[in-house]
Amino acid sequence: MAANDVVLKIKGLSKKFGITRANKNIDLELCRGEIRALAGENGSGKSTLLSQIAGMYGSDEGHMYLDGKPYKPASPIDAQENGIAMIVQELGMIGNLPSAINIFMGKTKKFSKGPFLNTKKFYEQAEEVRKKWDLPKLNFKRLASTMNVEERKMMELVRALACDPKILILDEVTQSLSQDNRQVIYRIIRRFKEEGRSVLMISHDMEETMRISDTISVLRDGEMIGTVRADEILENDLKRMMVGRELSGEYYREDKEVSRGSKVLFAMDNISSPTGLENVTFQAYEGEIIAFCGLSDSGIHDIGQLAYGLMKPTSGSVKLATEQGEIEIKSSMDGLCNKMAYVPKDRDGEAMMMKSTIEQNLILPSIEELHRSLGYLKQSDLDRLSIKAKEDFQVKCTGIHQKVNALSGGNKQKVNLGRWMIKNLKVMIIDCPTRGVDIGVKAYIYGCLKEAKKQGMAIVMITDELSEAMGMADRIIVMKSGKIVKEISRNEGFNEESIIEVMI
Amino acid sequence: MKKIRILDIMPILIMAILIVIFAILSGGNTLTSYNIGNLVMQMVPTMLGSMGVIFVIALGGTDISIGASAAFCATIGALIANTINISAVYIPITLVMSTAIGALLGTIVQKCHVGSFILTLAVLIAAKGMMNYLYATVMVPTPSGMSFLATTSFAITVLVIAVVVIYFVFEKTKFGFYAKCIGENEKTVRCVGINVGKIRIMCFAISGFFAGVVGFIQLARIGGSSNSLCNMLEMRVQMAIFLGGILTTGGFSAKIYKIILGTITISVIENGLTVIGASSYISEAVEGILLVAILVITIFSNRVADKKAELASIAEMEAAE
Repeated sequence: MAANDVVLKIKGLSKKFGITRANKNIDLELCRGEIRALAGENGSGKSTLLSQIAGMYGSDEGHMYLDGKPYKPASPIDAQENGIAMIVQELGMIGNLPSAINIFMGKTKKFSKGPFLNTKKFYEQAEEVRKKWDLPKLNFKRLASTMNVEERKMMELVRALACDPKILILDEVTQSLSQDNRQVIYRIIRRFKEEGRSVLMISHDMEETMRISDTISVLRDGEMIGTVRADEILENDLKRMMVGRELSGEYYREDKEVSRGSKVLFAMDNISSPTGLENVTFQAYEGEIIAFCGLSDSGIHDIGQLAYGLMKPTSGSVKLATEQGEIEIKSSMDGLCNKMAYVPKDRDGEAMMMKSTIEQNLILPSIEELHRSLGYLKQSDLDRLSIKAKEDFQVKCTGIHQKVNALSGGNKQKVNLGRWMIKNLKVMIIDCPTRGVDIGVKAYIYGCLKEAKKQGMAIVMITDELSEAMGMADRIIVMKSGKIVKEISRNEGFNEESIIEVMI
Repeated sequence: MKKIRILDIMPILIMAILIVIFAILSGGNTLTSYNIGNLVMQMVPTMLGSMGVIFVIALGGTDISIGASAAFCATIGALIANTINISAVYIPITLVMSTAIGALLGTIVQKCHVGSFILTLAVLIAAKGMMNYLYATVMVPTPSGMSFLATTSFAITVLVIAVVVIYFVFEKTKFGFYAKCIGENEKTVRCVGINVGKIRIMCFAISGFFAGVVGFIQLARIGGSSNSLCNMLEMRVQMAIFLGGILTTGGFSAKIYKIILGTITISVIENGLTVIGASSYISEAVEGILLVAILVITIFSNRVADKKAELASIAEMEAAE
C-alpha cells in the first residue's frame, strides 16, 4: 500500500499508570478503508491504546500522525473534531439528560444563540444522523438513565457518527448487542470501508474478529506482537499469538448428545409479564444447560428477572424443587434461600458492589446461611468463606480486602460467579456469563459451568452469543417478541443459520 | 496487614487538636470535672440521635426529621399521659409514634422513590408547624413521676446501652451488613435476592425510634414541652456524621466509632465556645466557620489518601504478579 494511504501513524507510543506500564513503545499504521482489529487478553493494553488515540488518555512518550500531520488530541472532543470517534466499553452518558443532548454534549456551540440553546435542533440533527446511516428507529427524547445497555450503545453510536469520523473506534461494542443490532454495526463497518474510512475495533469474539476485519494487530502485556491479515491466519494460531502459549483443548462441550437427569428442578408455567412476555413455559432438568436466545426485543433478559422473583408475572407461576418438595417462587428470597441463583447481565452496574472489597462481594449471597442466632456474623466465618472462594476460583488479587474495582474484568467475573458456585446450588439463572472477558477467563467459566452440570445443577443461560449457546447447551430455546418460537435439542444438532432464521 | 491511613485518623486528630485549643483558650476551664460532666450531657441527645440516623446514612440516604419528630412525639406522649393521668404511657406512646413515623417515611422512600432528604425535610417542616401550634395552645409539663428521666445517671445508662446494642446490630449482624450493602449498590442487593424494601423501612424505623428516645429524655430535662425542644438536633447529627468522616453515599464507610468521634468533636466545639465565654451571637458564627474549615480539611485529606491508596494498590498488584 502506498504511503499516502496511511491515515493514522503511531510511533513509539507509551503510557504508564502509576508504575504500571500499560503500553510500551507501540507502532501502528492504519490505512484508509482498512478495518483493523486489536486482539489480546484482558490487560494487554488494547483499550488503553484506543483511548490514547481517541484523546481520553495522554501519552508519556511517542507521537501520532493523522494524515501526515502531528496529532495530539487534548480531549475526546478534540479527537472528534479531528475525525476520530470512539464508542467505549463502559457507558458514558449523563443519565438525566435526553439522549439527543447527550449525543451533542460538548458540541453545543452550533446550537446556541447567545446564552440560549435551541434544543429542537438537537433532535433534528440526531434524527438526520440516524437516517444518514440507516440506523433502526430511536427515541432521542428519552432520558439516558431509562434506557438499557443496548439502547445506550446505539445512542453512543449516533454520537460517534454525528461527527462524521474518518476513523471509528469500537471497543467491545457488539458484546452488549443482540444479533439484529450487531448486523447494524457490521453494515456500518462495511460502509466505512466502501467510503474509504477506517475502523479500529476490539472484540473478544475471535470468530467475529476474523470475519469482519482486514488485519489484526496482536498485543500482549502492553507490547505490539505483530500484525497479520485476517484471511491468512487460523483462529488457533491467533490465540497462540495472543496468550504466548498453546491453549489446550476445546473450551466448549465436546459431546454432541443431550446429557441430563430426569428430575425437574425448575419450571416456568405459562408466564406472562408486564414487559410483554406471553405464555412462557419450560422445565429445567437436573444437569441440564438451557440456553435462551433471541433479539433485543425478544424478552430473553426478562426471563432471568421473572425466574428469580425480581419481577412479578401478570399470570402463571414459577416453581422450584427443594428438599422439602416443590415450592412456588413468589419473591426473590424464595430463590436465595433454596439453592437458586441469578447472575444479572450488567456485572459492574448490577451484580457487583464495585467500591466494596472482594470479601464483601463474595459473602453477600451466603449471609443467610452464614449468620448465627440474632443475625450475628462472625468475622472468622466470613473470612473462611471468602478465602475459600478466592482460592477455589483463582481470583488474582492482593487479598480479600482489596476493592473489586481494582480487579481486571476476568477476575471480577470470577468473583461474580464464584460467590454463587461455592453455595452448592441446584438451579442457576445466568445472563450473559462471558460478557467482557477474554478467552482465558471464558475457557475457565465454561469449565465451571461444565463442572456444575456434572454435579447436577440445572443451568438456564441467557445469552447473546450464539456460538456459546450452541457450544454449551443441551437445549436452545429461541424467543421472539416475548414468545417461545422454537426449541432445539442438542441431539438434533444446532445450526447457526436456522437459529438466526427463527430469531428474526 | 492493614495500614493506618490519614483518612482514618483525621477525625481523631481534629478532635484532639480542638480539645487542646479550647483548653488553652479557656485556661484549663474546659477540663474541669464539672465541665466534662456538662459536655457529656450535651453529647447525649446528639449521640443517641446519631445511633438511629446511622442506619439511614448507611443506605445512602439521610433523615433530618428526627429533631422535629422527637419534639412532636414526646409532646403528644406527655399530653396524653397528663390528660388520662397515667404517666406510664408517656414513654411507650412517644416511642411507638416516632417509630411509626420513621417506618412510614421508609415506606414512602421505598415505594415512591423520593429522595430521603427532601421527604424528611417536609416532615421536619410539618412537625415544627404542629409544635408551634401546640406550644401556643396548651401547656405540656413533664408527666408526674417522670423527673428521673432528667437525671444524668439515667441519660448515661440509656446512652451506654444504646451504643452497645447499636454497635452489635450495625457492625456485627446481617441486618447491618445488608443496610451497608444497599448504600454500596442497591441493585446488587436486589439482584442477589434480598428484600431491600424491608431493610430500608426497618432502617428508617430505627432512626425514628431513637428520635423518640431523645424526645422523651429532652422533654423531661426541660421540664415540659417547648418550641425550642430538640431544635437543631438533626443538624448536629448531620455534622457529627461528616466530621466523623462518613461519606454521604453511605455503604461501608459508615462506622459506629466514626459517628461517636464526630459527636464528641461537635460537642467539644459547642461546649468550648460557651466556656471561653463567646457570646451566643458570635459562637454560632465561629462554630459555622470552624465546621466549614474541618470539612474542607477532611475532604482534602480524603482525596490525598485515596490517591495514595490507589498507587499503593497498583504497586501491590505489580508485586503480586
